[in-house]
Order: sequence, then C-alpha cells, then structure tokens
Amino acid sequence: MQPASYNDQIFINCPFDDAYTPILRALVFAIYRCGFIPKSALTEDNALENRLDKIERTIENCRYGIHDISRTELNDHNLPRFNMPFELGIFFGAKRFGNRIQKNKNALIFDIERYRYLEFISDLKGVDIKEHNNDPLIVIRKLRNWLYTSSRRTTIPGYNTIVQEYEIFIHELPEIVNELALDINDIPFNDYCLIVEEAIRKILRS
Amino acid sequence: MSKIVLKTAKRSTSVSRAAVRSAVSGRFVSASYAVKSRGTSARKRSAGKVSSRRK
Repeated sequence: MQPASYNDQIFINCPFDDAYTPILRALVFAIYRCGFIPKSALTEDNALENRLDKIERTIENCRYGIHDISRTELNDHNLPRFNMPFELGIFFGAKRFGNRIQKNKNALIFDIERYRYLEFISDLKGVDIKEHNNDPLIVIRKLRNWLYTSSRRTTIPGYNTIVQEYEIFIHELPEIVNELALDINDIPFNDYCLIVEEAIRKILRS
Repeated sequence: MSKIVLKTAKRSTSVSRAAVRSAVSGRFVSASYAVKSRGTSARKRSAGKVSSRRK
C-alpha cells in the first residue's frame, strides 16, 4: 500500500560521491521548490534492514523517479558500477508489473551525453534520456520542465525563479552548515533535506 | 499562478528542525532581488559545475 504522499514523492537514484554532490544538492533543492519530496535509500537509517529492501520500498512509495546513469566508468579493477542501472530496472519493473497505482510511475533519466547510454545499455533504445553535461543548472532546468509536464501542476515555478533562489541558497549554505556544526563537504542527506526545507520556507516568506 | 505549498517529510536527522530554523533565520531576505545583478558566470560558479569522475 502506498503512502498518502505517493504522488509527491520522487525517488532519487544517483551516485552519492563527492564529485556528484553539486548535482545532488541542486536536484534536492529543485524537487522541494517544485512542491515535491525527495526520497533515496539514504533517507532511512535502519541497520536491521538490508539495502535492497530499502530501495524496493522507496521505489514503491514514489510515483516519480530520477535516475542518473552517468557514472558507469570502470573502476581500478576494470569493473563498472551497476547500482544505478539496476535500480532503474526495478523502477521499470514496478511500472510494468505493479498494481494500478504503480503503473502511473514516471521517470526522468539522465546521462552525461544524450546517446552515450546506447553503448552500455542498449535495451533503453527509444527511451528519452536527457543529457546534463555535469551541470547543476541544466539538471534544474530539465527536472523542472519534466515535473511541470508530467505532473501538470501549475504551481511549479519557472526555471529562472528556481535558479535565482538556488544561487542564494548555495551561497548561504556554508554559513548555515557552520552554525549547525556540520561539515560542508559531508552533509548527511537527511540533514541537507531539512536545511533545504527550512530555507525554502524562509524564501517563500521573504 | 497559485502559490506553491512546500511539502516536508519526517526524517531521522542529526540536527533538530529548531536548530536549522535558527540557522536560517535572518537569511534569504528579499531573495529574488539579491541575484538580479549577478551574471551567468557567477551563477555557474556558485552552482558548482562539476567534472566527470567515477564514484
């Protein structure tokens, strides 16, 4: 059974490394600013549950999904990282084989370049994949436009509004984090979400 | 355009909501005005365009 907020929740399937942090921070801010709630496997902190269970439940509870398959390079052992394509597959499966509610799932898929994915996951041929070129502002624009089209919510603000507010937010973030005695280079996902929530609440009142 | 409603979620965090509210208080005043004079280059710098790197 899906939570009441199913239609508002967006599953984020992306790398959680230092290099990806600027994009992840932009994604989370834009999701909240568009009136949705970001979810990831990092949202829940329960050591008694295995990672796959958390991922499956998070996917089940989210109507929307953002999947970034841009980090597929080989590691030092010449092995690719399969987590993101695997979780994208679960999302596709939920939509294909799930109940009536699961069938209305909607996804945004990112890669660095638009057609690069055909070289490593050709089964996705024909699927509309967006390029972001590792640019957080491109990510914000494509995320905003996708949400506007797929949700049909007229309350979603324009791209320029979101970017202007994000610039101010990211400028203030180091001082906010410092006041909270957190490390700007290692903000826990849930803490970052809480900061964004309160910052947007303040921005909307200003 | 109707006003957007901020959706929030209860999460397990290492800082309290009250502490975060305190940390953001006094900031983001006249948010939309402050960035109007900034150009695209400053925008890209502050948003932190990143290079491609495997995790």
